[in-house]
Parts: sequence; structure tokens; C-alpha cells
Amino acid sequence: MNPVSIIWKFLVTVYHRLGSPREFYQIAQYTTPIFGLLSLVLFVCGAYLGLFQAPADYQQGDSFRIIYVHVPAAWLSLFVYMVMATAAAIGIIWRMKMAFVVAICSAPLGAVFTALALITGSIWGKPIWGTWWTWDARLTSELILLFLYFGVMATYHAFEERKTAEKAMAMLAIIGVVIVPIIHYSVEWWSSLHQGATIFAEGGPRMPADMLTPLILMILSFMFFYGYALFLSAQNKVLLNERKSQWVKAAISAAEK
Amino acid sequence: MNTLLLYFKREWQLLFRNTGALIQPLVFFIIIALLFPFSLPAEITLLQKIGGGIIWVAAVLASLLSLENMFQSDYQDGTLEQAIIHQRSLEMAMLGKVLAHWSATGLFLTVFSPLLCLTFNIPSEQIWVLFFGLLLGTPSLTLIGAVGAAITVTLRRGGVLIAIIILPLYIPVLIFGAGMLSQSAQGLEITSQLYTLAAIFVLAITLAPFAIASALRATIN
Amino acid sequence: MNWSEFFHMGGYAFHVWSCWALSTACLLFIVAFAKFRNARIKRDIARQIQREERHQNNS
Repeated sequence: MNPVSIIWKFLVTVYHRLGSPREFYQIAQYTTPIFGLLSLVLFVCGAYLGLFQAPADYQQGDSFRIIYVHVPAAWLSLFVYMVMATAAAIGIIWRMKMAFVVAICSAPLGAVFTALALITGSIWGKPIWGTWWTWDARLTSELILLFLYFGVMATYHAFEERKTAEKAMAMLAIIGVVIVPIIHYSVEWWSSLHQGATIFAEGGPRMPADMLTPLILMILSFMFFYGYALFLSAQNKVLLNERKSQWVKAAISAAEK
Repeated sequence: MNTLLLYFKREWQLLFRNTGALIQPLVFFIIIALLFPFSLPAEITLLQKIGGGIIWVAAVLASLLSLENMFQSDYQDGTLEQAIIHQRSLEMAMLGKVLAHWSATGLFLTVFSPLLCLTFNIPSEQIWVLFFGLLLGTPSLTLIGAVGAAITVTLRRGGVLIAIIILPLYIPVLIFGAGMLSQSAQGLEITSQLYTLAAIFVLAITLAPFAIASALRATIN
Repeated sequence: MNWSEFFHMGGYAFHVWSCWALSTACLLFIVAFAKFRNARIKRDIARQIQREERHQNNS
């Protein structure tokens, strides 16, 4: 057997095992603490390097240290949307129960990351631009993204029947993914009309290594945190959805004793 | 193609039987636009400057208002369910329905928009820009909105939800439609914005029917 | 570098620390909310099981 087919078989097995709520619940019991721990370690390292070791920016002084929470949050806001839309598409195409759970649990997390990116961006803008809010292309796109998340969440909660709610929410998430690039492009063109100055110099290679390393650590920490929080809330969702099934009752009674 | 025409005709017949639903969005459009002069300082130059943007926002809100009853009555009397079961090409049928809906709302607004422009003292060459912008933009608005209407059709009170879902998706059309006006006011070229609006329209008319049909199939069972 | 200088953040103390505090608080809130919800769901299911058992014993 060649290695490619071994890897393929492994992936298919993982896919099928994660696809069943029961197997997912059992696997998540082990993976959740690992993700949480990794996120915590990376956060502590990133915060130490970012707040103590990284030199102050020659233009923005110490205010640039906001980058270490702002950029990870902004990065995650888009990443979570992509995960959500992919999961929604998998759920619609292959009728996979767990994919819907992942999509629904991602939406509030993504909304929190988007709100964080907006608020930290706005606090950062105060000393740099001299104002809390500028109609800058990135801030405006983030704001629209926040409303897209609200739309997905509102759609899911508007339906009484769970299966319909899942499908409706998934449709909206997929439509959003088609339109997000168009929104981004149009907002960019529009803000160039307003001559909004983009000061955020987040360009990777221009950043010296002792500033970049904490940023990468923080982004990784936020990614693992997303995984951790996703596992936590997906477990809750599975318990709620399957509360009538025998295995949930068995698991709960076993934990009680 | 026959299905499309059939549904287009049927929708028109239904709309003309109920003239109230035909006129309401238009009246709403005019009233929204006329509210702005009351809430702004009385300066002719100011209204001239922002009038186009106001008309665009009014058009967006009017097309949003008309969305809720796009599929609602067909859903309640069971026609939609029949179409889902029997129609071989639900996509084409729904496209016909949506286009008929647009010609009864968006096209009406566009035809009446020059009148509103006159009350805002908008110069005549800008009226043409607004007119063609609306003509290209409102079909996209109706097509995108129809997807939201299809997702929420089974909900009894879907009105606010449609607004939350759809308004963010309207932003690109609004940006290029209204941006075209401010560009032409400065004497700049507007062809690239026209092309972008046309591209959004082409994208909407090819993808929206599939999204509408699968949303209807997913939520109605 | 001493501590007061560190907390001063070159004059940007409010901006830097409010951003960091808010982010940490949000992340902690997400975890606390999920854990709290988990405990409540498990308690509800356990109660449901008890109710069913009592129902079976009675009948």
C-alpha cells in the first residue's frame, strides 16, 4: 500500500468518525483540553514577547502593541467565516449533521472576534488618526462582516424546526461567502474616493523579526482558542440536539455516579 | 424558457389584480425620499449634492419593503409547494417570477425617479446617470433580495429578518450606484462603475435563481 | 526598564491596556459562558433521566 492511499484512508476515517455526533463527543473530550492548553501557552509567550521584548515602533511608539490583539482578531474574523461557510456547504451537500453544528457554533465566535477587531481598531485609531472612527476600507468591511454574522445567527434562531433552521442558516452563510469579496472590493473603491488614509502598516516582511514573532504567536494562540471554544460549544450543541438519544443519557448517568 | 415566460405572465396577471401591492412600494419610495428635505437644513445646494444618494437609499428601502410578499401568498395557497414538486426547472420559473416582480417595483421606481430628481434640483445630466444607475442596479437588488425572501418564506414574521439578512448584501450595489453620481458630479468618467454594476447584475441573474430554488427546496417540505 | 514605565506604555497606557484587557475578557467570557452552559445542560439532562426513572418505577 502506498503512503498516499494510507493518508487518504486515515482522512476518510477521521471524516466519518467526526461526522457522527457520538464519536465527535468522545473525541472532543480529549482534544478540547489540548487546544485550550496550546492556546494558553501561546498567549502567554506572545503577550510576554509582545509587551516586554518587542521594541517600540519608531512612528507609533508603544501604541503599536495593540497590533498583537487587533490583527489576530481581524484575521480570525475572516478565518471563522471561511470555516463556517465551508462547514455549511459540507452540511448541505453531504447532509452531515456535525457540519451544521460546527457552522452554527462558529457564528457567535466569529461575531465576537469581529467586534473585538472593530473595537481595538477604533481604540488604536484614536491616537493614530486622532478620531475613534474613520471610514477606512478595512474598518468598514469588518463592520459589514459583523452584520453578516448577525444575519446568520438571527436566521438560525428564527426557525422553530432545527433541520430547517440549519439549512436556512447554511444557505445564507454560503451566499455571504460569494458576496464578501464583492463587498470588500466595493468598499475599497468607495473609501479611495474619500481618500481615507490607511496607516496600518501590517505588511509582513517589512516588520522586524522581534515584532513579527509575537504577532505570529498571538495569531496561532487565537486560532487554537477558536478551536477550543468551538469544541466546547459544539459539545454543548451535540448534547442539546441528541438529549433524547440513549448514548447521551448513558454518558450523563455515568458522569453523575 | 417557456416556464420563465409562463411564470412571468402569471405573476403580472396576479399583480394587476392587486393594484394596491403594485403602487405601495412606489408611494413608499417617494415618501422616504421626501422625508429627507424636512430633516436637513434648508439649503438648495446641499439637497442638490446629496439628493442622488437619498434617492438610492429610498430605492433600496422600497425594494426591501416589496420583498416580503414576493413568495408569501404563493406559499400560503400552496402554489409554491406544487411548483417545487412538479416544476422541472424551478430555477427558470422563479427567475420569471422575480423578473416580473422587478418590472412591477424596481422598473416603476426607476421611471418615476427623474420626477424626484426635479424636486431636489438635480441637474439634468445627473438625472440620466441616476436613471441608468437605477435601471442597472434595481434588478440586482430584487434578485439578491429574492434569495432572502426565499430563505425566510416559511416564517410568519420574516420582515425584520429579511432586512437584517439582505441590507448588508445590498451595499455593493448602493456604493457603485450612488458613487457613480458623485463621480459624474465632479466631471469624472463613470463607465467603470457602469460596467461593475452590469457585472454585479450578470452575477446576480446567473446565481440567484439557483440560490432561490435551493433555498425554497430546503425550507419548504 | 521599571514597572511604572512599563504600565505607562509611552503615554498610550489607556489605549494599549484597554485593548488587551477587553480582548482577554472577551476570550475568558466565551470560555466561562460555554462551561456554564455545559453544566446547565448536563444538569437538565440528569433531571430528565431521574424523572423518567421515577415514572417507570411508579407505573
